[in-house]
Amino acid sequence: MTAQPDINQAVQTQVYRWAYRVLRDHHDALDATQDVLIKWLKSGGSKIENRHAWLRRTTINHCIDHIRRERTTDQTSPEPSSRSTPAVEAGREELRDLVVDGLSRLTDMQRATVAAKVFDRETFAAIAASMGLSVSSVKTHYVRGLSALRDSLGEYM
Amino acid sequence: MDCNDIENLLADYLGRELDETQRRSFDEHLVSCGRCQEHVAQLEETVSVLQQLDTVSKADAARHTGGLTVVRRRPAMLRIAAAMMKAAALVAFGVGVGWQVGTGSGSTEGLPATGDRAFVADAGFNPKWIELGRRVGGGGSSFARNLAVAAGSHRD
Repeated sequence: MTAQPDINQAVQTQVYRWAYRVLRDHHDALDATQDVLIKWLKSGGSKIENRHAWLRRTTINHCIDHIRRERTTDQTSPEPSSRSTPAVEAGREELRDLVVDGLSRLTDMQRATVAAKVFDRETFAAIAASMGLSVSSVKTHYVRGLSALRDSLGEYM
Repeated sequence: MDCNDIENLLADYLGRELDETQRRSFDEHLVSCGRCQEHVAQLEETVSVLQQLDTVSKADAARHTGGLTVVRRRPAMLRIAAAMMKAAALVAFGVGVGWQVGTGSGSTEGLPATGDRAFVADAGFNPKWIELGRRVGGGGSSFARNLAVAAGSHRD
């Protein structure tokens, strides 16, 4: 049996890291990783072009949806992390909520370019190649995405 | 450099993709233009806030996702040939006919089709992967049933 070269350990690790960045919970991130890989398989797997961009976009979108669903069904406060005080943790939670809200209001392209640039520190040229867009379009999405996020984070900043 | 240049180079500035000369000119304009300075500062702070989101090291992420194995199904002809050999062996040894699901990484021979070219298999049959089988194969699929059977026998 040959290991599927398109979804190797490195890819799973990357999907998990994107998920963890948004969800901040190991188990939720693991579930999200599993869900995203299943989506990848069901969407054609190796037939999908620009796998990296597709997985990143799908993971971020999936995690945002997850948090929104979680909020509507569970209004209890999350358990504080052992590494910070309750006040700090509350601040972090509030920040994460604002960021997630902001990200959810972006267009798909804005969200994808912001995630690629800020989370993965890719160059605009690399993002453009993986998304099949021109470099100038990617830059436009990036700046507009950041501007929209700035508006969403207004209270925090 | 004027305000229009700042707007045109804003993405490159925020993305750290300006060369040294452009960056110096950009900064010089910011010093002299309060409006641009405030605009750029707000966007830089936005980037900074995004970067504060927790992340996890590659090593930890790899450890957390270590149990997941995604394998490619063999070509149809090879699967048919393997199935025929397996059937012949079962008849020869008088063993009942059924799907055979092995344990251990990559031991996925005999798993029924799931409709995908590839499917996810687990080394340990934990309950999550039974659920995974159900979701990949669709509710009540043979894939899910066989995973469940395998898990049951595994627990016994």
